[in-house]
Amino acid sequence: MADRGGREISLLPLRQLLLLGLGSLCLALSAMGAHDRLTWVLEVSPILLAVPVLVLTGRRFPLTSLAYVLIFVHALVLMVGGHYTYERVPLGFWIQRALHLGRNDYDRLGHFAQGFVPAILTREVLLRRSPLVPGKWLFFVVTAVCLAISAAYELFEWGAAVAWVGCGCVSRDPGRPVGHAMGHADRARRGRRRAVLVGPGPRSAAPRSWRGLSPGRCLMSKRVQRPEVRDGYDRWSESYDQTPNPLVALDRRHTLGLLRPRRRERILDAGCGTGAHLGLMLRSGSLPVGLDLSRAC
Amino acid sequence: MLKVTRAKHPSVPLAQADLNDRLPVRRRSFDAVLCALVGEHLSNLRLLFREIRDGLVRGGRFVFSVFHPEMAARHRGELRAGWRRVRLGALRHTVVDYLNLIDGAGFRNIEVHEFRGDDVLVEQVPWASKYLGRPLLLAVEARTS
Repeated sequence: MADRGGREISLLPLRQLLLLGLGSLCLALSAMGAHDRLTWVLEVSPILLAVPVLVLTGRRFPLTSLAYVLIFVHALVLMVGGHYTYERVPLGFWIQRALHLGRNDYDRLGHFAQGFVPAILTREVLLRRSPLVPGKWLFFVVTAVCLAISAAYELFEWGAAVAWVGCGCVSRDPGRPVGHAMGHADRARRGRRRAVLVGPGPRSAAPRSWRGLSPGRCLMSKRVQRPEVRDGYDRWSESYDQTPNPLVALDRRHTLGLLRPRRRERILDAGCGTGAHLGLMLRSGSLPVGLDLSRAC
Repeated sequence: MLKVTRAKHPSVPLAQADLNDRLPVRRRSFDAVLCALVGEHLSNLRLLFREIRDGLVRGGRFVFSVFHPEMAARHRGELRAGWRRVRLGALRHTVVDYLNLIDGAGFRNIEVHEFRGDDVLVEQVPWASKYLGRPLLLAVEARTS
């Protein structure tokens, strides 16, 4: 293996090598007999840019298998589009006939991939290499990145179409692709939240296959937060009394009965929280004092 | 939380204090002390129980309640704050840990109670049906000599 691609490539894991080999073969096949050579070059140029980056980072920062497979599928979509040009892809015609559509909708598949795959990639990289955690900000940044990629890509396509009039690669739905991509980015994000989650993984560059995740890891990736005790209770304070909690309910029913506060008695509530017991002590005529770690203002 | 408490009970004296540390209370100044549902978050219970004993008058009453260790060992205490779930760090103290530490602090007449999930509880909190018949709350009563 070492003779062809040098050390970097030869050291890639087998799965990545397999996808790389298969992808190269498909690329060669798509180049043969392409409808228009220039269109082909323009359509597959993202692959030619991305693959060297993936190969170079394949060992130092390996992505999850899911990400690699999605990139591979996206590359196939681009190659097929480049081979036939988007308007003439047979699959699109077949769908057009089957669903009685007005036109060949293969470009929509392309736009779906253009939103979905970058969203998965961006999310993975941000989770592993930035302080962002699953939540609103991660969603915002992932969406923004995908929109920026789609917008830049459409501008590039438009520029190419102006420069080479007659090239069949330009989108016939100006404006729509970005909207499509946004919807797909959102779908990718939602789907991904359930399926996988690579935690913030501080320094580990090892890929975490989504099947290999332990249940605990998956739980953590949902919207569970693990704040410090004080921060947690402070955050909880507004809703503490309203949130039905069996332990708190049972404690309120029994504990004060054991204490039996009497009139004029001085009682200390150590860890008084939102003061439910303090209120009951006041009602019994005793003189309570409360201590708590939580913030007073 | 103290902010909420202050708004609800403006007449009650309140102080911010770390229960893992020495308590800001005078010796023998309380007739009774309640310490409810905080035990699993505290790492220095030995000191806390001694401080409470010192704060109590002779014959003073102490009631300590905590998420039952038997349940705590099985379930992660997870709270819901709005649409988020919050998991607070909890220490795995056992029933024997609590009892030995209370006894070691010099309390007498120690009585132990276990409260289980029952129909009344399920009426109050419907999703608590999984706790039916299971010990959910551990409460310890004790007196200073």
